[in-house]
Amino acid sequence: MNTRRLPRPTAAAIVAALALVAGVAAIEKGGTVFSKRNETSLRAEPSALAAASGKTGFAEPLKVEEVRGSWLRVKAAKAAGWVFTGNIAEEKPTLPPPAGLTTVSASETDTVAAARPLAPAAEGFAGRHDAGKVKEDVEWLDAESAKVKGEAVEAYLRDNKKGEYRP
Amino acid sequence: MNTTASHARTRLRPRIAVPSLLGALLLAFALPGTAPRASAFPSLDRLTDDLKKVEDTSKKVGKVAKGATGLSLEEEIAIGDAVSLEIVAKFGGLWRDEAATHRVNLIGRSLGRYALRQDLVWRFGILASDSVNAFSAPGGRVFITRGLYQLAGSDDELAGVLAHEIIHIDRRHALRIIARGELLTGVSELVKDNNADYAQYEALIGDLTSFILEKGYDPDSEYEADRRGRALAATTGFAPGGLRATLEDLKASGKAKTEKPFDTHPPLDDRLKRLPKDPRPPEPPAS
Repeated sequence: MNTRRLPRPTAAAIVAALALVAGVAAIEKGGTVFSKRNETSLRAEPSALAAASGKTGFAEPLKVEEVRGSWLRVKAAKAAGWVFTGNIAEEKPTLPPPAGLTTVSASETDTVAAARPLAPAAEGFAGRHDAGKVKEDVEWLDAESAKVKGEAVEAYLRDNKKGEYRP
Repeated sequence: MNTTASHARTRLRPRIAVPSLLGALLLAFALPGTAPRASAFPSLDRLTDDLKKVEDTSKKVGKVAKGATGLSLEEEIAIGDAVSLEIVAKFGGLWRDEAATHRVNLIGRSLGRYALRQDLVWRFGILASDSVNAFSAPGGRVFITRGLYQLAGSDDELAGVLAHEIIHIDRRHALRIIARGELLTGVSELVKDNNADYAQYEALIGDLTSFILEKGYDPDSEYEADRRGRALAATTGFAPGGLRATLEDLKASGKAKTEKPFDTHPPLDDRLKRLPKDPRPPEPPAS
């Protein structure tokens, strides 16, 4: 049996790969992550309540310089600061969010969260299938969902110390 | 308000004959070099292998999501809206309980805030069925049955269930199934031009809905949804053991033997075996 110990970099890479397979964030100092919103605020301290130190754009690569719990100190092309792990992606995102969807203002998300009509193709589908009552149900669901404003989600996270508001 | 809409519990069927449906199906089933088959989709084993190859290749060229599915957001929504109609029809309509619907949307939207895909508007509904199951439609709609809502008592447990379904959408599990079919052109044409022939769209929605509601995703996709869903719940600040606790409660209830809960998912024991042994979340406060 080969008992030779692996050199440190190789061992670290294996750990990172295993973490990735296990669905655990393979985020470590020296790695690269990506912003996933049109605009993500970086903070001066690892806290959602800290002052903003800069902003990053969609799918911008961020070099990880330090990991502290659920927060990363990152360096972007034109900004640096702390970002919550939930606000970044380990792989480069492909489809940008609709304009206005940012982490800066929760209320802006309501622009895109407003109840929209079913896609024309699905409207036609409902008509051809005589699915009037079912269509009413889906439209009711969309309207009820739209009542949950971005501010309410923000307040829920903040009041329950969840997401980036975790201590 | 607490009402249950009344619908026939059945899949949607065309009110009128679709003129070109037969032609579309023949086209789908009889492409050169392919043997006739009963489904537009390859077998699950082959599907899994093929998807891994597509994903690996896509990663190499830096086109992970778009390259793997080839669908735009507009096309995804056009498919997801129709699949949502099918899901609601199949389960006898929505449970129009405003308080419960508000709650699942608040928890679900909190999870969606930290999902990979930020191009979607996440919406969460409760199906008027006392069976235990959950489904997701491309485009961002997640459905759980009333039976599952009532089984998963705490916010942590609900979050575990919803996060699992979010991951199916986040990782484009349904769209990857479509990517293996031969109907993409029809969808693209239909989305661009409402006067286009809709036969291929009808065929695709029927096949995809059948896959989601009757066959279920391949086990690897389900285990990925369990694994990544647990991580998403934890990132959002919910107890990571929420899904596990729900599955354990289901097993302990005895329903697993009689009512086929989660019958579109892998066996409960297999899922529990793969999930970390997280402690149970705290019980919800007595109301």
